[in-house]
Amino acid sequence: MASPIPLRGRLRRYGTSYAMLLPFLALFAGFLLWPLANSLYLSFTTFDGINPAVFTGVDNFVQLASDTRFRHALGNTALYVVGSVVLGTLLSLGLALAFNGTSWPHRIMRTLFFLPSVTSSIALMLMWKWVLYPSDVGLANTIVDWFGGSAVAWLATPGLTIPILVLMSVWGGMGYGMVLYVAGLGSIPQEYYEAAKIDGASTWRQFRHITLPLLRPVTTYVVVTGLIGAFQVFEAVYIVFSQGANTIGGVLDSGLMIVPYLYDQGFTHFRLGYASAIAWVLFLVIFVLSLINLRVGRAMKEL
Amino acid sequence: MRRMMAACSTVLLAALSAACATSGQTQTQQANQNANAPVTLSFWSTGGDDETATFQKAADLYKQKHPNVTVKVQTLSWSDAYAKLLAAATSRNGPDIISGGMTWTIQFGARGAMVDLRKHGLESLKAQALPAQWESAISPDGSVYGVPLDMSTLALYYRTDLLEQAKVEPPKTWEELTATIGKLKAAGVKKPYGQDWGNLDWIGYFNYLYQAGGSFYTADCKPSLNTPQAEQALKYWVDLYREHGAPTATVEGADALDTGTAMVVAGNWIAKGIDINKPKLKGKWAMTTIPAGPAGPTAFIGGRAIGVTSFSKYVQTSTDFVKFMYSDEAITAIADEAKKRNISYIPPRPDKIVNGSVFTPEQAQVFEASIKTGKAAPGCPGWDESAPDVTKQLQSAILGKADIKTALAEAAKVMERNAG
Amino acid sequence: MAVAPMDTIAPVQQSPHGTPTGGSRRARINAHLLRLPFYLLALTMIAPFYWLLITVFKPPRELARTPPSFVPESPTFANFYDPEWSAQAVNPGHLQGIFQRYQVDLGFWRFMFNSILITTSITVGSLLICSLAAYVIAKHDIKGRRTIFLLIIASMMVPWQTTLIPNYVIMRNLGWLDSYEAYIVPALAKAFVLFFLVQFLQSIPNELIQAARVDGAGEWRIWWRIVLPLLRPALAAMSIFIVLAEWNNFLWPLIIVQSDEMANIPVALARLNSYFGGPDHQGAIMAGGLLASVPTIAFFLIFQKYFTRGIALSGIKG
Repeated sequence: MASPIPLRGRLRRYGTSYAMLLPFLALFAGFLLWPLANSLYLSFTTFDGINPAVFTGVDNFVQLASDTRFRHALGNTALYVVGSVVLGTLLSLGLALAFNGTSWPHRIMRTLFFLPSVTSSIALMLMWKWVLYPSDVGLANTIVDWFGGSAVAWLATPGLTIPILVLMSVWGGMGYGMVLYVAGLGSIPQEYYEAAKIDGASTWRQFRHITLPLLRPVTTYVVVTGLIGAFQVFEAVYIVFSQGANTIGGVLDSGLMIVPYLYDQGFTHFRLGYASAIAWVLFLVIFVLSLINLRVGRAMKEL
Repeated sequence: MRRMMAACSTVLLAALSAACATSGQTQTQQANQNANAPVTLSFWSTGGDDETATFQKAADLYKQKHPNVTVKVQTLSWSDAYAKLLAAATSRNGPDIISGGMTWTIQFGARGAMVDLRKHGLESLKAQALPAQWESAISPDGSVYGVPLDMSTLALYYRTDLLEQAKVEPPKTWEELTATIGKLKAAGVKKPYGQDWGNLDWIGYFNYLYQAGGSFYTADCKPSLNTPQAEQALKYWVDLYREHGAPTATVEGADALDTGTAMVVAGNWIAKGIDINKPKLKGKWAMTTIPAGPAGPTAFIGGRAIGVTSFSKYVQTSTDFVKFMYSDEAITAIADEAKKRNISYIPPRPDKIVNGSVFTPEQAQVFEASIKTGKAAPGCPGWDESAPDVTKQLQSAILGKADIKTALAEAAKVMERNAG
Repeated sequence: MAVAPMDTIAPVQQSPHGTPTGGSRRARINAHLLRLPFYLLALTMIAPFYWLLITVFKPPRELARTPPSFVPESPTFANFYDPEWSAQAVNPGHLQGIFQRYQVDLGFWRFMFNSILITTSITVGSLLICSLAAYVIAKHDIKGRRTIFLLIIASMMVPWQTTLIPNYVIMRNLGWLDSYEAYIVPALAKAFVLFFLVQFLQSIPNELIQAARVDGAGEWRIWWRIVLPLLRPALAAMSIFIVLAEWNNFLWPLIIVQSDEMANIPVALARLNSYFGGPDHQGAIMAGGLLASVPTIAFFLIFQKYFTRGIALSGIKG
């Protein structure tokens, strides 16, 4: 684009260019870059929201390292993330393989599995809370009752908390992954399979050597976005498991995770410095995960 | 095009001022002292919309007497009210009047966000209030940042038919309670005992702790959970779950009775709805005070405190409104509206528990008995921040993750740390 | 003529991959057997939704009954609005419907209005702002665009919760707490939208834009008349993401909303949830959940084609 434009014209054109960039950049700087830097600064301070922040060095991080609730939150998050991503990805792929045709039963199944993705998430959370109602009027306990069991305290049994959260997440998210996989399957050239068939390759071998490798970019995307989403879980814990005033995280903190703990420290204790340190731990975890996402590297090459 | 540029520069300005704003401080407010100028007070009430409506009735009555004063009551939900009020307290920006958990105003007051009501002549309410509840709302240094707005307490609700079936009387002591549970079980009652309010929560433990002669804090606000009484209480409570099968899941009290639980410890508010919402239970249930422990029958007294924020522009009017909430007419107005809406309300004045009540006289007498010997939450610094962590420690004892001594020691540590 | 990048994604093929196609009867039976677990899984998808739906149409007393009914015995709309409930006297068996529950003017409608207003403003606003910036980054040869783009891409790795506390403090100090501004303004600059639009524009040849420039069209005009229409499929895809995300936004509103009036639907429903635990109230709560879902489900059914394509586009491109 090295056209010989006179200086004035160039200035005018560049001026317009920057003016067009301005709204985005201003908002981007004001509500993302600056807060990000500010949050880093706050994470090295004690800040109660009233008095000016007091610089305390790495105290917050040292304290985090020995904070049993935080470690608990990290452990829970790790379990939840691994559980929901592994199960979610496998089921998404399975569903895509099972229902990727254009016949109406396939379409109906796809719509059904996709439905949670377009249902209001607060509605889903309230629905789960009601399904898991502790007495016999709840759906889950009614089903338990059919099989002769007695009512289960779904939301007050620490050992069940993470499994329930994982199931809620997988239930709500597998349809989304399925849509991605279906699109991925559609972009695999049909000729590969025809050639494989001529060579006498079994269905399994076709799947193993054609489908799976060619789906790798989709899998990366599903896994990485799944990981990032799972690390940020808040609503499910806050709505379904919190009990009463000021209590977040469920019985024995069995559902306490990073973002709920960030909310707890930041907004029910107003320890804004400490909460910022938690926010930065979350940031580092997700940053590392995102670097794995190959999309970035490729996008830069294109520019 | 020009409009577009204008829009862009607005956005830029907004973003720039945002960047600068983090370092700014909120401005102080000017008081408006003109006595007859129209005034609108904002009152944030923690609870449900129905309760808001009852307090709004009192506010409307106040307007009849003071036509220039409008009080607008709005609801905060229990789940995030503390966070919301704390945010308002730290930003010095928000309502004129707040209500919330009994001891909350102490925490906000410690941050300088509340008015000391003593300085506005509200010490006089002390004579009208219940001493145990008043005590709980007072800061350790004697400041009165909030006064009781209403009361709540616990009762033992039971199914008369199921108790008859097992030929037992409602239990009056700890020993009788466990014995009754055993007899009910033997008589084939699958769910002999459950807890609604306070289940797996510090409020549940509160009853046993004080009934055993213990307390959360000493009189001078030192954590006091390392006592034999605290251990005895926790042991008894834990055994109710582990030995006697009290469910860890919290089933709403009326629902629990309806689904066959023989005895339920629940809040006073459920008494209102049982006959109306569970017609099947009519005539098959009754209530009494919760069983007493070795040191007495002390039950938890809950309720809300009401206070005036230090950043209110109308401190004097607001305190006057708070005072008004103790008047006979306000209490009657609130109780009438509560009756219509079928919700519970126990006024903050012990002389009004029975004759200003929304309950039947028999029910009100049970609550009165419970309140007379009851105690309210500890008004010590850091308690509201410690309470969730103390609850976790109690839960770890109940669920067998920690022994009783360790759980109490850990809870005491948290309380120590938050004390300041 | 520019090649629309939509065409780079092959349409979904007729025959399924990975599962046997055509062939013998045995193979077909095998294929169905393989699908069996997924049909069972579909049952677990239906069950909670069905439970939600029947709850909405059961009166309070039926809700509190054990065992629960699986077909509402006395179906009712009372959970939306119960004409027999009254604030003046107790009427046994009648509770407020969702439209009677809030003391705010307009009741639940107010939250519907808030949610719709906020979602629409953010969607339109961010698409305009991001497409402007994307046009410059993709098609203008200016200094620093690579740096800017790199910065924006890097910021996509920042979980927004990291900026939660400073942004809260900013809102507070601007006096924006409890206002539409607090909902909308910080949500306008969306890095992933910009990133996606830039990528999309890069695949569009420059000829059309150059031709317009030769004709003397200004840059703003080119953006409005040429770039935006070219971007239409990408904008459609992005609007789906934005609408869903903003409609469901919960944590940010939870922090910035103070008054009853300013709640969006999720915050308003969470408030009910924290106060009414009993089964008889679940009808009204689920009715609220249903109302919260109707707009997004309708949006999905109308734009179904764009949905799946949009998701596929965002996931596979790049």
